Amino acid sequence: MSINEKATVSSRPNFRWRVVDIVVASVLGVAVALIFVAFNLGWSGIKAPFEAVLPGFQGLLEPVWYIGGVLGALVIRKPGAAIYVETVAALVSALVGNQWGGFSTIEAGLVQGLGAEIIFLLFAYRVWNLPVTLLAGATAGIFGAVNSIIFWSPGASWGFITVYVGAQIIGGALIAGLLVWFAVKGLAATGALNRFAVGRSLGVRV
Amino acid sequence: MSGGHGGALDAYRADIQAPLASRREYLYGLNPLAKILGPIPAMILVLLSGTMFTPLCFVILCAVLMLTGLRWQRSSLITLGLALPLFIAVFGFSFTLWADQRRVAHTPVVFEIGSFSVTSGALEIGFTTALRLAALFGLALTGGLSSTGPDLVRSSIQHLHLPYRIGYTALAATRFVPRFGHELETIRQAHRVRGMSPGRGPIASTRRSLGYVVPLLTGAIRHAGRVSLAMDARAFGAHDTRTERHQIPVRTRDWVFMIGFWVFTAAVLVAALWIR
Repeated sequence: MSINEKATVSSRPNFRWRVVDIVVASVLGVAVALIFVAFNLGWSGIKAPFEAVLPGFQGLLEPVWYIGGVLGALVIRKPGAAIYVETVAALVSALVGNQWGGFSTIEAGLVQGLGAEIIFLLFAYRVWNLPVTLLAGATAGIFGAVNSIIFWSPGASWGFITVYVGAQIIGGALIAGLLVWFAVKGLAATGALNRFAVGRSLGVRV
Repeated sequence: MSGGHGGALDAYRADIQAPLASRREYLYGLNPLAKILGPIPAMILVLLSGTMFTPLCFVILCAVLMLTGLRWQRSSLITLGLALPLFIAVFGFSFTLWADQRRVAHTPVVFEIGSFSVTSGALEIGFTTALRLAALFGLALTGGLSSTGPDLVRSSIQHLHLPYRIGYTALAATRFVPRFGHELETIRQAHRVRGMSPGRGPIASTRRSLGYVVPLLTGAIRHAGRVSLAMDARAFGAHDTRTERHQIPVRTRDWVFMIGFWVFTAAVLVAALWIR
């Protein structure tokens, strides 16, 4: 289900950022930051039942924080979009304030964005289908998991690390991958993305 | 950055813009970059410091700078005068309780709460940590309370060669935050009126919230598209450089502030090593 099939524009992608790319990426970053802020507020309550099942199992839900990278890359389809959107989202959510402090939030945003970015880079920013999206979400999960283990639970047992990273990979593919894929499909269907390649290939002309 | 009208996300707070400040309130007139680059070595020193002396020096310095260089209302002065000592006391005592008891077991006991004895070593660790936090807050607030986001972006573009295409569009995006709030309210009302996901309880409310995501993003992207059309129409980004409407110069006083901060930091470092 490649989404480039119906593309009528030239197949050679233009990697230079247009003004609309920068503005939309920035706005997506701010919008994702608002989702983060809401999620941060409820996080201690949300993770408790998961942690009770198995320590490390909360990693299944942490990929909500990685949606910015995949969303940005899928919409903008230019190099750096994943890192940019995820970092702006982290920056804004750090400015609003959260329980983890400014520096570590922004650093985590950079690392998580990088995780998604690397996969799209591997496919030379030319393949934008569901499997690549799932892979990008899962990789963001790996990067995010390793980053939080280093910063927040150094010296954790291998049992915890296995469960935590595994949960993050599955959660990353489902939340940062599948969910974001359907969100972008929904966005494209509204016609809001018509100025982007994704809107022209996924959406309906209105 | 907090306080003032409109809260932390109003980047254009008129009350602290440099041209409007009087001469006496000198912090507003400084270049935002000087107010960030000056305190950075001090922040690192505070983070690395193990004694009470270093953070205490910076708490006092920042208090003096903020009291002399910022515009104050009596109510916020009183709040700060009460809040700062209270903050240090509360955090000092709670960090005291968390201190590693084995490391401070040899120090004399100051007082006991039931079977829990508070040693002078634990008190020292606790209050050093609290003072360190207060010093970090102070160092960040000295610049944060006296600069606006747009001035920081303009200054970074003019002096640090931040690409203006990114700087100004990111700035434009921060103006979307108040819009988002308004739009969310509209979507919520529209969904309610049409009876989408009715009911009470966490499941219904989660389903309702999920339904807001796509319309909210759609609205945001549509608005972003209009903004970028307006910017394109004015040939934004057509040239490598851009004429600035507001110059944020680096003046002698900015150098004085920044180098003065570094000299003070170095002096504190030397003094801390000397008294140890």
